[in-house]
Amino acid sequence: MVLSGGIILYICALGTLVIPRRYLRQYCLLSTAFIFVIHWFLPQQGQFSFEFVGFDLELYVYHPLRQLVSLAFSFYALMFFTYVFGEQQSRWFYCLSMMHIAASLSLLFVNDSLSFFIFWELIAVSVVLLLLEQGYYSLIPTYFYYQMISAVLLFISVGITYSVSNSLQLAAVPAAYPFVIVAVCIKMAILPFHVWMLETYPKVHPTLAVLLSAYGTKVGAFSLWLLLPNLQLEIFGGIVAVVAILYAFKQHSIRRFLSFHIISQIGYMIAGIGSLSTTSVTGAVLHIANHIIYKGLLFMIAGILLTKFGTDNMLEIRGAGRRSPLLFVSTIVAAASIAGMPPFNGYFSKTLLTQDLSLITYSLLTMATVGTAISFSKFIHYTFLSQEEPLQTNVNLPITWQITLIALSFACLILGIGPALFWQPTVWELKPLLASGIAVLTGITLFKWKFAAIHHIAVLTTPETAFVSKKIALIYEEVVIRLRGFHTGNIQDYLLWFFASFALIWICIVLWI
Amino acid sequence: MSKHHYVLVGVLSISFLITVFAMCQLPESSGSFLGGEALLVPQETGVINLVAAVLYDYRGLDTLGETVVIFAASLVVSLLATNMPSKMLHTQLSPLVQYGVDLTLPFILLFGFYIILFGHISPGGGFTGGAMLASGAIVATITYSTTNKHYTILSHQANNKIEVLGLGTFLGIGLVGVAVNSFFLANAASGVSLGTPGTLLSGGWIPLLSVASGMKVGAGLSLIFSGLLEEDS
Amino acid sequence: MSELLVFILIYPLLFAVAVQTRVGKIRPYEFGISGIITGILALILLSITHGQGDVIAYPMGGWGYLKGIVIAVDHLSLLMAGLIQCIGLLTLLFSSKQSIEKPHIYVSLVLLCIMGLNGIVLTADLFNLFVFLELASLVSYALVAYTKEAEGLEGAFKYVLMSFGGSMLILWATALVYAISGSLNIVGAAEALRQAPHFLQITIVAMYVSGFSVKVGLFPVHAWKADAYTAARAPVGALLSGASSKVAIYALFRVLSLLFGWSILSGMNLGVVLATLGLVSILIGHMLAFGQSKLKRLLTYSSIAHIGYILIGLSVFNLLGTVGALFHMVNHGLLKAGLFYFAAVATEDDEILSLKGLFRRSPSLAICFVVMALGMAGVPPLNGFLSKWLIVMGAMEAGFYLHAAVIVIAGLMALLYYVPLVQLMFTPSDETQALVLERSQMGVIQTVVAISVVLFFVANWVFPVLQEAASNLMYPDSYIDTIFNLN
Repeated sequence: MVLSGGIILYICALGTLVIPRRYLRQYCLLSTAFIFVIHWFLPQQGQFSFEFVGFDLELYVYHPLRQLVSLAFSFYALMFFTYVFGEQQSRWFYCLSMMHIAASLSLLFVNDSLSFFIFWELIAVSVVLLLLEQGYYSLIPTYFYYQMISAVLLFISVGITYSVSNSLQLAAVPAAYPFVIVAVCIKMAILPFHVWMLETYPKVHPTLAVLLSAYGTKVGAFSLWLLLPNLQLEIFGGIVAVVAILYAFKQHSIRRFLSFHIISQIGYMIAGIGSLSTTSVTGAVLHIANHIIYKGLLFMIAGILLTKFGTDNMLEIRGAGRRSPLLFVSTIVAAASIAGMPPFNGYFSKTLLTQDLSLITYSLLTMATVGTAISFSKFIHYTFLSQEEPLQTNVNLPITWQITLIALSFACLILGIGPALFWQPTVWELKPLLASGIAVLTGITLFKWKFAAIHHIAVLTTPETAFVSKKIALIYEEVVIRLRGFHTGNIQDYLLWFFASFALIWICIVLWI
Repeated sequence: MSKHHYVLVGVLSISFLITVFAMCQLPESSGSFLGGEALLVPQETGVINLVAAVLYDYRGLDTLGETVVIFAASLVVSLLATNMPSKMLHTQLSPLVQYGVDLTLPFILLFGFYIILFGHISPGGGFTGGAMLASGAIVATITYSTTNKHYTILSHQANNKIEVLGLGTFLGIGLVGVAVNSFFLANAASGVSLGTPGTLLSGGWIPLLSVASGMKVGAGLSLIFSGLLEEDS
Repeated sequence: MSELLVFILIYPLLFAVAVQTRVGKIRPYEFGISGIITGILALILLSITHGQGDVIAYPMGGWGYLKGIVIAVDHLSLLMAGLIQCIGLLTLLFSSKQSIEKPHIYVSLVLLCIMGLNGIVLTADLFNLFVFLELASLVSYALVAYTKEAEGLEGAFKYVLMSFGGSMLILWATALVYAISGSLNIVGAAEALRQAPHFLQITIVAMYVSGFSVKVGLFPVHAWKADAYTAARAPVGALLSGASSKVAIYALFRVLSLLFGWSILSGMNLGVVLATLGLVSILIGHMLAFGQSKLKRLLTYSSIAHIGYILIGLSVFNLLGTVGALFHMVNHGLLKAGLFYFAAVATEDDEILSLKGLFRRSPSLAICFVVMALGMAGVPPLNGFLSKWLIVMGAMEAGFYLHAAVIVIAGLMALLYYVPLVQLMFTPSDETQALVLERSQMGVIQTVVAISVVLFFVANWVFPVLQEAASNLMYPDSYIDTIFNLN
């Protein structure tokens, strides 16, 4: 029997409640490092399965792709705890964030829908508790309702799959497809279900955003591979990537901007997983892993900018490049990675991902790459390069932040070069190199040349989508008020219902036969 | 009549019709009554009154339940007694009533006792007799109470004690069956002599159970009545 | 050891009488609590001596099932009896620190209520069941009206009228059963009843269903519940919604499945009818709980909805659904009782708005509420999730797709009213004085929370017990045989 790494991390998370306050941060670092090592040396044989209330649970099944994502997850966890090392957080913060990571890690290895569903909800519940612990009471409803709608749909699909196949297999049966797709789309914050993301990531404390942005949506993308292994979603992914970029153009708040880029990058993952070809799926899962690293880096940068410059608006921060060269370099690295510049990791996984795609999807994704380049040019241009204000003193970053920035930047580079050299040298052919180089350069040129026009188009083509949920809420409230009108508190009415119930049940039974 | 009433009448008549329709389908005779087994009341229970046999022997647990219901009811009444002083005490009764009650009260009580004690050989039993005793007590209270003072045959505490004693006796007799390795509320099965059916000393535990439930019911009903009269302290 | 059955049946009476005899000299709560602990010990002893798959039957007075009354216990009855004693114990423990006037009477009434419920669970006789049902109901009316305020009296009055209607139908149905079969024993009457004219069967079923559904508080006779439970003291609400309504569901299914057997009932499509009633109850309960301003009223509507879950689980009639429903009885009983206890201490006037800032005033209480609310909504890793999962899977297996979907969505509807409460509790308010609770009251609430977390993780050990109980309900052969063999 093999104990899943996520479960071990859960046990470690309980440890944070008893460890002395002084060693808490070290303990977190150590346990995540330990988890990373565990996932590095995962046994390829062996299972962790047992019977639970009459169902067979499989909490650990080995697959290289699962291990890949888990490595990224646990590495990022290590980075996260390095990042928060300098901060004073409560005991519960450490415990709950570890539980969040543990739930995400556990979900990667499960092979039955009951435990999958449990961890799916536990991810959301841990976030809700974190929000509660950090005092963001007003953010909880939107986040929780969206996540619970996703869970409800997943529950229904699991039920349908169970009733059709009589097993708790992960792959959904066709009758359950609509439910699964919407459930996963909500988890991935695909437009128009992105509201919960905008209500959480840009509004919480930067440290919390650094944690949350890494796991929730990526778990959704990975579960697409688990739940819908036989569904063509290629073009859908391409469209998602492009539409999210249109939204991202408009944003000036850095973290909102990054949130839309998460959605766009998830479009790549959907396209890769939805293409059903082995290479593309591998590329897409690799992209999940890479995305965690560079998007985490970007969210850390956004957090540092917010902490050091006091604002989240990229137009208000000026000349950050001069004031903190390290920040500038790591931003360049992250932006190059997300845009798919060779030789960074984004390039590697995107190239692998697009190898087997159809022409339409490929061109959609190329458009998205150009868009990504445009919008990150905007980010770097305004925040780091413009120098309208008089030169100010340098910003000093704490050593833990420096370590994380350097480590994540190096990870971007190494993951771009290393596997490509030893495992998939095909990505170093001239055609993909040229294609992505041209795309990125086109993006930068377009930004320099015609940004105003692009921004204008983006504003015109992106409607607001949040009003739908408000409308539904109003209808629900109206129904409730009507219903309450029937409950007059009048005993005559209630007695009437009683006699009617007897007659009704009798008539129902008689008529039914 | 409002629309609401028409609906109510409609629904009620539909329910009524349904039940009448069902009753019409009842079989003519219950041939399988008690699974066709013969009910040999005098031989089995030692009493010749079928009702007493059913109440105190065959279905003794039901009787226990009913007495507990009365126990609970007296508790409820003593809890929920009204805050308002009762009007009835201040009503002047004509002397004729008082004389009449003087004359009949002993007979009422005597008849109550008779009904309880002879329940197993003639119609009656603990419940009926207890109710009769309680009605005697109620009549006395109504008649003899003055503006300042309630007249009661037995005090509240005494009634309470009798009630509990009755319940305790009932349970105790029931537990005798368990003690002699028979069953709870067992009569003949517990080894007690049934006597000759039709005589006063017959029926095993049944007369005693009858007395116990008579105490319980009589005291309980008097308590309920006095609880309703009393002002809440 | 079958004498233990008698003891379990009558011990509340012994203790209630004892509390009454020496008014003023003994402390009623301590006495009542020790009484219930004795009862629990007896139950444990009974379940230890109770071999695998055995049914213990005890003929009262030694008369057998034709002439006399038989009480019998199987795993299902044991489970229900355990639930009743546990909630009774928690309620008395909790009430002991509430300043309730006339504690002697209060304790006696609670004990008598437990006696009635025990009787319903243990008896195998239709009329005896009616007697104990009436005892439990009578005591419940008084407990609802205990405050003697206008609201309580009104609630109790509505409860009396509605419940009386229900009792009337149950009694009528029992009379019809007796007229047909000449037997009052559930098992003894079954054979004649199964050969009875069709319409007669339907009428009896309809009478039992609508009669018991009043006691349960099912749509469309749910409305009294809101008034009665809101007016009652919170611990009383815990006892009634935690134990009484569950016992009424038990009684309905036990009577119907033993009298008719599931083949006749499913021929009447009763499963669909009951499941649909449950479905409407779920929707109505959750919708009405939304936006309430009184905490107890909110909790009551939520229990109406949860009764619907249980009913669907039992109506789909497969092992998964039944196990889920029984598990949900336990889970909901405990959690709802816990929430009622919470309502008793968290607010003075039962106003939801006065919960504002509770987290600052009493952090552990607020956290307990969060856990219980999540448990009610069915979020893992809490017991509520597991029972909901089992019910949904059972419904899916039986082809009740719509019902399963509604149960799933209902979790979301529950969150719609629990989340604002949590938000309110954590929002700071002007009132900053710490809320100090009595140790035993906090202990009771924390116990409930701990059980609800632990039940999820030990579900594997609880599961066989529930499975035994469920198979007792579904395949009552051993129950029937044991009672037949008494003669």
